[in-house]
Amino acid sequence: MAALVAARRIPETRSEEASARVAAASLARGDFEAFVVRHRDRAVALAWRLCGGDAAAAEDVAQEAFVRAYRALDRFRGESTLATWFTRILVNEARRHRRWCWLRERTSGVMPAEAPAPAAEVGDPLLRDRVAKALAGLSRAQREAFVLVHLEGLSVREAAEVTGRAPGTIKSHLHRAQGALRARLVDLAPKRGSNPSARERT
Amino acid sequence: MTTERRDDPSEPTSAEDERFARWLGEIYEAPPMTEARRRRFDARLEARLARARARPWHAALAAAAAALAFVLWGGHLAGRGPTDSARAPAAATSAEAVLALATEPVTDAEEALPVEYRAISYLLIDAEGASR
Repeated sequence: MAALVAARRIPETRSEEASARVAAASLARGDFEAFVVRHRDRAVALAWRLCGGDAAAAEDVAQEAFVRAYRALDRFRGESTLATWFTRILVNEARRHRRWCWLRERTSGVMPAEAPAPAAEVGDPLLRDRVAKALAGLSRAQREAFVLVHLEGLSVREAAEVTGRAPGTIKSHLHRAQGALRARLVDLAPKRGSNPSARERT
Repeated sequence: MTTERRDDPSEPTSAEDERFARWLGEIYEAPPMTEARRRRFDARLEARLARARARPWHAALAAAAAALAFVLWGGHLAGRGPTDSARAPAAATSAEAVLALATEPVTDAEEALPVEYRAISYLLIDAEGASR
């Protein structure tokens, strides 16, 4: 990858917004390798959660997001942080992937894979499968809000920026997602007021 | 990739929600990237970036072509059912027309044949039937 990019710095924070605008025309391509290295693992993990635990799809979505970001770097105006901007591209790619899968199932009758093959077994696969199915049962907006805020640690404001929705809408989706997930995982979820770590040990 | 979530005072979550989300997050965690996976990821990404750099307009063209093909394909699939049913009456109509032609009395054209020919036509017809 080093052969592709010459060293040039990419602004990361909102405080560098002004320099980002000035450098917008020329910053593209520069420090892209470092950007990929810094965000690769997180991007794949977020894509994995948005793609229902499909490792191959997650890598594909993350790669496509990096390519799109690379192509669009010249148009980055520093209106948000580069990380937020990239996350928005990634979420859009995940949406595109799901839409494509849905269309393919509808038009060609190809059934989705029963269970995406994990790259490596981590934790309890049965539990993970239950959670994946519960998340898949949410609406797209609810799932995105829940994954971004509760699982990826974005603020409501950041999730709103990334998904292009109002913060109030994100809160509403979060509330509904919580309720739906609790209902679907009622037999597994830690009881209110109980110690989850104690339950995990059982 | 993110900023600290607790900085946002508008967080709607209760401690109970936080705990539930944390529990879910621990279960639904992506498998960690191994070095081999990272290398494979980087190699594939490098190949994609190289293609994007070499032919920037190809992606747009390919996307447009794929969209067009998909629309045409979808239209073909969607239209297959109704078209079949639409063709059925047409097919029935043409079958009826053939049947009508076959069963109709002698046509004008045949009557226009010379009288001598009509006189021996039964022989030709019988010969055809015998040769089958």
